[in-house]
Amino acid sequence: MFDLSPLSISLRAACIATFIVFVLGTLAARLVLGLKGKLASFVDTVCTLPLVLPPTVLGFFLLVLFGKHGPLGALLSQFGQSIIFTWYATVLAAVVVSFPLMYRSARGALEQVNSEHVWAARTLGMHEGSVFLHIMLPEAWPGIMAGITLSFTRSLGEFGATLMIAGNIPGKTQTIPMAIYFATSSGDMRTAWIWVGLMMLLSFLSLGFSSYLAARREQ
Amino acid sequence: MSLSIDAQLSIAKKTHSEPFTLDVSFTVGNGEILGLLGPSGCGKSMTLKCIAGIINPDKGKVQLGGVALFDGEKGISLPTRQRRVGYLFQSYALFPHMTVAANICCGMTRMPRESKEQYRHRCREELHAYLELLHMEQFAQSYPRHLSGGQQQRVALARLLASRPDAILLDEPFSALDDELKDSIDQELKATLLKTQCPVVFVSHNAQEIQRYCSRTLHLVHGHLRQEGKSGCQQR
Repeated sequence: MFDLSPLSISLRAACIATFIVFVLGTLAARLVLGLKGKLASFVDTVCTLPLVLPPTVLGFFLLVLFGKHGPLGALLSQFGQSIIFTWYATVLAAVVVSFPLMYRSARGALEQVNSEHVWAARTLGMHEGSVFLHIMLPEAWPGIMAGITLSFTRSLGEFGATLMIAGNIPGKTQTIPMAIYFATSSGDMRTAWIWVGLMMLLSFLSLGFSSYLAARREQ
Repeated sequence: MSLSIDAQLSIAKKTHSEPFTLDVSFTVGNGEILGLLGPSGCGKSMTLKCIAGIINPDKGKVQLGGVALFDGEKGISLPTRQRRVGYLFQSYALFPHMTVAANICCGMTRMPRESKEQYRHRCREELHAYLELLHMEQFAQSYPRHLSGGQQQRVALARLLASRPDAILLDEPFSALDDELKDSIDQELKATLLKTQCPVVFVSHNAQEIQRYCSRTLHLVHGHLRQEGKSGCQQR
């Protein structure tokens, strides 16, 4: 019987990670827009850095942070929890690698929001949070939606950092990219082909869905 | 409560090679419509933005009804949200993703919120009152992009009035309208503005427009006030 668990593990990690990244990335983008000068460029650089760093470098840092002797790992172990080599780690890795994509898309989209609309809302007496939720977000939505799609597909394809902090435990942390790698290296081309096909299909569908939404909005 | 705007602002802004300075000082009484006339780029909009808190002047004071909105010396600068200054943008700045009704309801931020039910009820009542006042009942569920320029202006005005401002700023309110429409709107808008009993600042580059609306006109040239006089018969 063909083991389908990598599909559910991948989808679960990608969905949860995309949701987390949507919230964090959008808030970070809003935060950076409110900053000025050197501080703005510094925070912007830090938020974008995971995009250009090799996933193994990110995995290394996550391992250092969340490992048994790492500061966050030690804190979690006091509550009897550990993240490394559990399915949480697949989510964590996906969040870190896809965060910059969401952040950059959201920042670009929020920058495009008509500033007169924002100021009009403020003169009307709307609170800053309300301005963000009801004026800025809806107007920036197409760009944010693009960011969500990119983050989802990136999360789905995450390999390097996941391998380092989640490992390749079949049925537990083995995602589709992991299954492809290990099937290929053990010469099981049939399994590899199946997963490669599924991966192509998933990515194609999510990108297609996003461009369908964008086209429908245009009308 | 008597309302007056006392604005002494001076801004050095680097637009081109040399800095642009804005130095204006005027008072607008209750229920008075003051005209601010000048060519584009003379600092009219900037003056309004200083009053609304969109730009902060380097020094000076902005006061509304005895309350300091901005005071350079004391380091006071109320956030725009708390200033109770209604701003009608040149583009009207209607929220494109919201219906006319939703746009107007966005202005109802300063309504007392005793209970949720009562609040909703009052919002609905007030919405109908504004739609009726500006003859927009049949457009309540339309989106701004489906409205003409004149209709958009009325929605923007309703939204502004719904926010219960203590002062009203109009930034070239007619520049987006054609001439025929201007005349038909004229008297209605003026009557509506006068009824609020707010101090109103009316900015335009068109002397005729200003004359029709304002009892007093200030000329702004290169960021400086040139002269003060009654518009209409006295000047002509």
